[in-house]
Amino acid sequence: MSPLEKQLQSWTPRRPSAKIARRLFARAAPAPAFLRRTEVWHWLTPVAACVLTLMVAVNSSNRHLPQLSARDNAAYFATVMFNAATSNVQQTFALSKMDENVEWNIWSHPFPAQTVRWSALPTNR
Amino acid sequence: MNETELNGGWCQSLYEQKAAGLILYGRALGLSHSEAEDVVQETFVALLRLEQRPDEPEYYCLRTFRNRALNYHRGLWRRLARELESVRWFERRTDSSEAEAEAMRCLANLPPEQREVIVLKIWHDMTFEAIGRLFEMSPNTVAGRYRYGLNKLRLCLKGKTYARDEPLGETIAIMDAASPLG
Repeated sequence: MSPLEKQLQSWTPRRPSAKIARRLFARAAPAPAFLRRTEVWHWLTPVAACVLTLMVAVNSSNRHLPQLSARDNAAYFATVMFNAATSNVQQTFALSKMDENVEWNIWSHPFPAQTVRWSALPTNR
Repeated sequence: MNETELNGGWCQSLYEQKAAGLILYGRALGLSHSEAEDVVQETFVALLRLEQRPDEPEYYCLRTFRNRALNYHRGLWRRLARELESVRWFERRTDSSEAEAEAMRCLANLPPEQREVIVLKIWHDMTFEAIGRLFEMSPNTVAGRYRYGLNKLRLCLKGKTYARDEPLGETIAIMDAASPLG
């Protein structure tokens, strides 16, 4: 081998960046050995299902209807209409005769002709 | 166990052993450093997908790399990046000299077919027979290219030296005195 060849050989080719090796050979971290044992899943699955069922049951019994303010009639009616079948509010709700007379509720008196007389506008009389 | 896991072991050791040499070979084939990296990655992805280990992994790897490098389609971004990329082919050394930089430049300026043979012979430790097998040509032709390229390299280096230190006539005399090429 000539001196030139030896000199050339002494140079180290530039290495590729480390990310190439990472992309090619990096593997996802394996699950812990405890979870890789199949017999663990024989009891872990039913236990997890039982816990989940229990949590759902407890959560259902503790659920309350939303508080309705007495003044907010829109929310009150919406609640009854939305979930009328299961709502226990329906039992305590009954239209009174006053409520049935909507016209009476809104306009306690028919629009009177005398109202014009009560206005601040000057009249010729 | 999938193919990737199956081939991971030998592929990784092959990568550690050959990756830098393949990058240099990619440069000799006209790729930029990052293009050569892309082709190295493609090559090893292909190796990892093999159903079984090839009989000659190094040869198979080199052949796959060469085919992919020759068929590499350079996108617009790659063309732009290539112009801006560093031209360094080798690792930096503390004792790097001007002569070394000059030698690298001379190597880069050789015709590709000679440069390719020189890289495979010097940095991949391949015999002329093995290179000939890779190129599907006679070992004598390969050896001729090697000698021709090496002489050009030597002359390029000497020429630079003499161009700086000696009159032009002496440079021409040295070039004329170069050994016959074969």
